[in-house]
Amino acid sequence: MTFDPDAVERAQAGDAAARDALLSAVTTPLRAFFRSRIGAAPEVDDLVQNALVRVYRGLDALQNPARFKAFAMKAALFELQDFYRGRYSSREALFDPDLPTPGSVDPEDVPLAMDLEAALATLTEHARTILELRELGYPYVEIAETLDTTEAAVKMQVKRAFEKLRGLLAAALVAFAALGAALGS
Amino acid sequence: MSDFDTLALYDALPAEERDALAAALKEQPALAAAFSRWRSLRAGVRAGLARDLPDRALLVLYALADDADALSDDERRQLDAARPALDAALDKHPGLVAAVRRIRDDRDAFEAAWSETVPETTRRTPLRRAETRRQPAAEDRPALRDTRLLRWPARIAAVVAVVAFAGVLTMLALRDAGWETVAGGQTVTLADGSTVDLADGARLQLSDDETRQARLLGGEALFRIVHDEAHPFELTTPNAEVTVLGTTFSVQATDVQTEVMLIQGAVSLAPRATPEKAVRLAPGQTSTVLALDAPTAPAPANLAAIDWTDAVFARGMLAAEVARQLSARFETPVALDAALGAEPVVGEFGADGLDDALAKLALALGGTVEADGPGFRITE
Repeated sequence: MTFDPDAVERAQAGDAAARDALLSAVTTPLRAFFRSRIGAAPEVDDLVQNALVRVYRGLDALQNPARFKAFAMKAALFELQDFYRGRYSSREALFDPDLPTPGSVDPEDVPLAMDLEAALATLTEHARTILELRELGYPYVEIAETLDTTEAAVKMQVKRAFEKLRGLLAAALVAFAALGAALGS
Repeated sequence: MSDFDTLALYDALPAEERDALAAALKEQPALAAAFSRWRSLRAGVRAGLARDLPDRALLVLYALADDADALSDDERRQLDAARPALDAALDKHPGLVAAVRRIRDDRDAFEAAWSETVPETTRRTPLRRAETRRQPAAEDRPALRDTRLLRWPARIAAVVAVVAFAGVLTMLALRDAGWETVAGGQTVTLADGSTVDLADGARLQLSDDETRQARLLGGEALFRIVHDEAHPFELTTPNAEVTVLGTTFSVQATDVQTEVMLIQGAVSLAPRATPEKAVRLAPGQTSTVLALDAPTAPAPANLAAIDWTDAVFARGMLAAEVARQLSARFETPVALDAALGAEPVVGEFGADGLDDALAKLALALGGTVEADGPGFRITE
């Protein structure tokens, strides 16, 4: 099996053997890639399989067979983004960013009673980067890798941000309640 | 760790601590209130990111754009169109800037995985240009003997994966049974009289059983679908589905994006993975499905962008512009009296030839077609 354009074109032309060989050959680098990013997690199998489905389904639309590696890479990167968006695993499922937390009210039901941008502006850029990366779905350990620091340091930043914003939010709520009382009296 | 520290990191707690937190939230109203506000703020951060970067796949394309070989021409055009909004989002959100760095790290990790697992003999000359930038130096490569030893577990894993994937392939192969594939650069007439103009490079699959179904595997196509309310025409692309009652519309599909422009009639567009997110387009509107995201909100379409067919699609276009486009497409001068050129017109001109287009345009303008030297003129 080769990745030369002729082989890719044969697969695109409907040569089932060529297509099977192409997919089986790309399975190994995909698996190695996903393992390098998320470790030996159970989701690796799903990531590999879904990336292969992306390759399979998109192969006919690949206009330049010489770019097959880039094409497979994009399939892997898109799939990894879906993973970070929480569409895969039960990891941290209880507090999945896209799911309501059992036992608590829906976030949309609780007004912040203050300008979100103003609140975030009180944080350092480093802390805001961490919060945003987390809301993009990256686990803390990967945030630490990206920012070239330790997971403990990242979590410490989150705690400090929470403390800072908790004070601001509480003060804003007190002011909000006082305003409501004044208007009601 | 205090309860409030636990709240701060609620999204990374082990199972037993989650249970403890859930119990504490029930017993302590102040804690529950702080938790709700914290989550509201986090949800606000998330909503802000989603608002400023609705299409996450664009971030991947943005991160890869510095590699000349990584993006297809379609993807590069897509990225160019989105770049102003992306730049604004990156200016506003430091987390997105860091995410771009992370995606580039992912890219480098893929390159490393490829180099380590794809045998040297399979990396052929045509791919070399794309690989040159990150290929390890020769002295960094493992010795051949060691490499072979290392590859055996990978090969075994590959065999296992292939066996597991065989079920998927079988399913997909069965899915393709009963479908005929048609290449681009031609017009296809369906059993019900509907027609599809395929641009060069487009690939369309048609159902053998003459049902009103088709699959656009990639490329650009213009559909003129015969109205049949009882049997809607169904078109799927790699990532979206379009349901049609009877209409004319253009579709441009890649492996990650589907853009629909509706010329007349009605269509609904939805991601294949989440058909409940369908949006309905009105004539003259466009919407795009990127990867698995919901369709973009319908927006005015630039019908002039459908410039690869003989037809000119006008929806409020000035008659003078229609005449100019007809002149270019049929390489025949088409002129209008000055009083007619500023009239807006609606319709499709040119699908059935220049004579038909001129007759339609003249009818729309209340004018008359006359020979005018090597071309034609429409007079009042």
